[in-house]
Amino acid sequence: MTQPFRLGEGGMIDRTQPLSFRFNNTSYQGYVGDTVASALLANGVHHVARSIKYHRPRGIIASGPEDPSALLTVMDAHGTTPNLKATEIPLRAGLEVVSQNHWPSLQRDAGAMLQAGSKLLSAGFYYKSFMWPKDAWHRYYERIIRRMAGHGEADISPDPALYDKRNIHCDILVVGTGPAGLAAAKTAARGGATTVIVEQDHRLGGTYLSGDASDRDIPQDAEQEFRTLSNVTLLARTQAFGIYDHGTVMAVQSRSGSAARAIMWKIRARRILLASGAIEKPLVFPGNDRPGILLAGAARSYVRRYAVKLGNRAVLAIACREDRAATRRALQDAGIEIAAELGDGDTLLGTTGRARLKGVTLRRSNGQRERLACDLLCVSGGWSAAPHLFAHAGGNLAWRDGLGLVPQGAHPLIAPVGGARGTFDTATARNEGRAAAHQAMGELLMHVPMPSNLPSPVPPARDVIASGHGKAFVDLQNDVTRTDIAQAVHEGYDDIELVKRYTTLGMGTDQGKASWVNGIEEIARVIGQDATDIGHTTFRPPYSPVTIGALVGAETGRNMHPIRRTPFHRAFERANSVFQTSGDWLYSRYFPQENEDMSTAITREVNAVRNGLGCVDMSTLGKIDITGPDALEFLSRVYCNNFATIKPGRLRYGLMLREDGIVFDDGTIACLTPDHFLITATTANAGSVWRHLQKLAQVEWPNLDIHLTDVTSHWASLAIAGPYARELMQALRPDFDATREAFPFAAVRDGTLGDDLPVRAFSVSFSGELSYELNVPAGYADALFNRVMAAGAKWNITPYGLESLDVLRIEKGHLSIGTEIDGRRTPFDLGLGRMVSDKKDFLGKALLTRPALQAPDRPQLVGLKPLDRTQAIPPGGHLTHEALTGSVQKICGNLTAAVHSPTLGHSIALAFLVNGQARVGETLWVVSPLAETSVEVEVVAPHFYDPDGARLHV
Amino acid sequence: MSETLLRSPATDAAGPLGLGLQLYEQPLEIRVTHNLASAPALGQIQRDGEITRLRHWPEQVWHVAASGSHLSDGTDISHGQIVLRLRGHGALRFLADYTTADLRAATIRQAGTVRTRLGHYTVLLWWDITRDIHIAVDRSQAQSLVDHLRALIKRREPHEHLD
Repeated sequence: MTQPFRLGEGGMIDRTQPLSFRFNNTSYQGYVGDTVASALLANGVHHVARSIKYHRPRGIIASGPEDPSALLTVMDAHGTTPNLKATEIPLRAGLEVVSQNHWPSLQRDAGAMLQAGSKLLSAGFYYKSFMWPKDAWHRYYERIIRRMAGHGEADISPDPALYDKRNIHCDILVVGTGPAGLAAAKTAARGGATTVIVEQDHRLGGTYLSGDASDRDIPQDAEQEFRTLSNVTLLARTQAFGIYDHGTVMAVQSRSGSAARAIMWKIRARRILLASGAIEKPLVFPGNDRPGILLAGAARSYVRRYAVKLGNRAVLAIACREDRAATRRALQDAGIEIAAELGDGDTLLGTTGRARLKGVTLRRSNGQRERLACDLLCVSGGWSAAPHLFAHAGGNLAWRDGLGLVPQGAHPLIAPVGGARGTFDTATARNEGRAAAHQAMGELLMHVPMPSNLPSPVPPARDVIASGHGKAFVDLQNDVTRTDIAQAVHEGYDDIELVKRYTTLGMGTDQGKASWVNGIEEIARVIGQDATDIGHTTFRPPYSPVTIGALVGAETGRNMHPIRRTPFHRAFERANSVFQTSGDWLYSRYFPQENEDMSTAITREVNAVRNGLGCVDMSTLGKIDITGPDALEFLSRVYCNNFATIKPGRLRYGLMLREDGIVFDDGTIACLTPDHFLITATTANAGSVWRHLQKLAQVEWPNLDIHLTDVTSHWASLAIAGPYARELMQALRPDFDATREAFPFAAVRDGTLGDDLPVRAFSVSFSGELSYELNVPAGYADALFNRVMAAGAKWNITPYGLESLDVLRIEKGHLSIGTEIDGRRTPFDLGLGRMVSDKKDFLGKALLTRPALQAPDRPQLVGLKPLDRTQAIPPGGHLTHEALTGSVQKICGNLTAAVHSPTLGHSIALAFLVNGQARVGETLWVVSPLAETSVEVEVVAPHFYDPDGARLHV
Repeated sequence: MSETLLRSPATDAAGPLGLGLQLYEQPLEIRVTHNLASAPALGQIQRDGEITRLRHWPEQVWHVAASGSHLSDGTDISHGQIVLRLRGHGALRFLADYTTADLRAATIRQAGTVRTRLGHYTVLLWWDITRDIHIAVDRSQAQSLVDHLRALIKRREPHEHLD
């Protein structure tokens, strides 16, 4: 017979849609509208898990995210997902779930033997054990513990599911749709506020759903109304898991059978009405963890909402009398016999049964002891508020007996209502919801503000049900007992934060939802203080576990972050470029020819530039247009070198310092007209330089009449370099005179190529060869590249990439950001001291004169050559006076770059050496402890190739 | 050398994006000016015949016109900013789910333009009607943004048909 514990009628399941699913390889049936928990209970399956430490049989305690025990692994087409709560997994056809944390089976778990040694496994046992023998930790203990620890097993295969992240804005966000939340949402929606409603369940209603039939109509009616209102967004199956900066609420929506398996919503609301309800408090008594023991509210939910008959004979141990009566009615309606009810002064002494509850032992207030056979025990110690999100936003919480931790004081953005503030009475909660919504709309000036001083919540009348002595679990997820807490306190961990960490109380996937209030009371009792005085730990997001996929959304693989492509990207793809990321850029690394490795390609490319012709993409350099009558004055203040005499059509190399005198960036300054300049910044610093200049223009020197425009992306820039660069320049048919005399080194020309292609050409060089940087509007990059390749074929023009560019600049001794210009160097350190003007004022001048920046023992840039030219200088090495000794050595410098120079035929390096400029000719050692290499080197000037620059002027 | 000079697109966006939306690249003339006389207020758009003026920075205004138009004033950034057009009934609704700014906010709705973040991308949006959105993005990021929009549309439900 299927579903033997399903009631013949009632519930909010769709009996016309039966579903098959499997649990631990056994097939079961349920209905649309079931959770895995309700379907398992309808099939009489109560034992669904093993506890983490003692491997005790565990069942389903609750009906929502507060359940600490019923953690299962779901297996589907997306792989396996561990640690999902049976109470939160909607039943769907073909679902396959398995239990966790046991071997070889759930029923016969070898780990259960640990219960015999439970006294040895008390709180903090791992801090005191596994210390002997000395080498056993790595050999045995760690392996065994890793095998036994934790819940479930993570699936490390790629997740094929899609996830999404979306934004939503609203006037009012309502979190939760119990009585308070629904009332608030209806008021806000009817009042015209754009309203977002978030509900963790797939049905609206909260506690309405486990109430009488008339209650269950309320959320259905509300939902129908919401669906007709265009100002309402309803997010069901959505867990608001945290509130972050500026009140941004993060919520994750679970969806099955959808394009996106989960959506993370970033909700920006002008007001938040927190109706997250309350969590029922279990009772702590000996044997309180047996399958068959449920929270009373959950029992009502399973009966009323899911039409599950939870057992045949029940005992009720419910502190709140109203709840007790409601539970009695629900169970009796389901045909469950009530064996006994505990009341004020009664004591729960223990339970019997293994994988399922068989009986309860109790002592009445008159001292009479009873042993009752039963298969269901409904417990409740009352309710405690669930104001977690209020605390995330910085709201204060305070302990109130009978209410738990409740919000204290007002918050400018968030108003807790109903159970979330400790109001457990349905009618009062509804009133609070309505009042809070009116208040919010008043604050938003949508309505006339209404006075709304909500009265302080009053704890409901409760009976005190006592507990006998014995093993009683406070935290079922982490197997933390009363004894553990007492032991922690007695060992000196008497602060609530310490108790939590020493015992793991309140940790794990449920974050102590059903255990923390009992934990506080237990700690207070052991310490001998009032719960009000011992404080509480910090509530941090996430409220409930969030799948990593939802946090990532669509940002996977190439979509992880924006990739910047240069205008030549497609042309270079056709030219067989190998690309690499450099910052956000996808940059051409090298252009291999058939069967060529990178090293061979680099050698070929460098030789082409030195002896023939090459071309390279320079588009990523920052380009800033500066106009206005004060443009030259502005630039003169920004750069440390003097260029007051610069004429239109010429350009200069410029060095930019920070205020502290350290080199910030370098680049070129081109004078287009007396009041129009174009400067370049290094690729790495393009954004920083742009922001720096804007700040200077707008904040420091607003009196200067200049305008800045970032034109970096407007221009595609291709450098043609090599002895035949001028011939190629002329072959491109510029409409300006490109002869050596008319277009010398360090000049700029505007014009066209071939009568139609607009170009701005700069005669500058990073490679050390005669070179022109041809800038065309980026949309014409293809055209430029095609023309350059066609015209340059005569000289076998060779495209080259970032690797060859680096080799060429190191041979020439040119600087690079991040290696030589690393945020610690002065112009003098870099050998550029002569550039620093003493005739003008500039940014960084004052602090550049600090004695520390003028000291002779500062590291200075030098070149290095191996004495044995066949040896390779190890990159990343240090400079010392002796070969690698294996012991600590005095270091006198460090390398910034080391490459094989195809031009010179041996290894070369750039380095910073203490007082290096005065030490040219010395012999030192480059040592690399990582590579275990030492190479004896000669200190030389940093310009290995054409130090006089003669090749720039051929 | 005799080939006709053609402006190459920065992206491969040239048609259906999915769920009834169309995405394509539209070459436009864009110039930056610092002449704020008769410029729209910050965050606003101003249409003057063939020219659209957008002001999202205190000190500068974009002048936008159809490709081939003559814009005399300012610095040319036409090739540096790629303008994508997203067309379809739910174009604004689709983008609104992914922009940091609330595209349905009254101020933005009335302005018909906003500079915001779309995922990790800085974009400038403007529209006359919500079925036809201009998305300006830095040229270097344009293809990556198109790829991102394609990834996003895959995460929508078929019943969210947006045309």
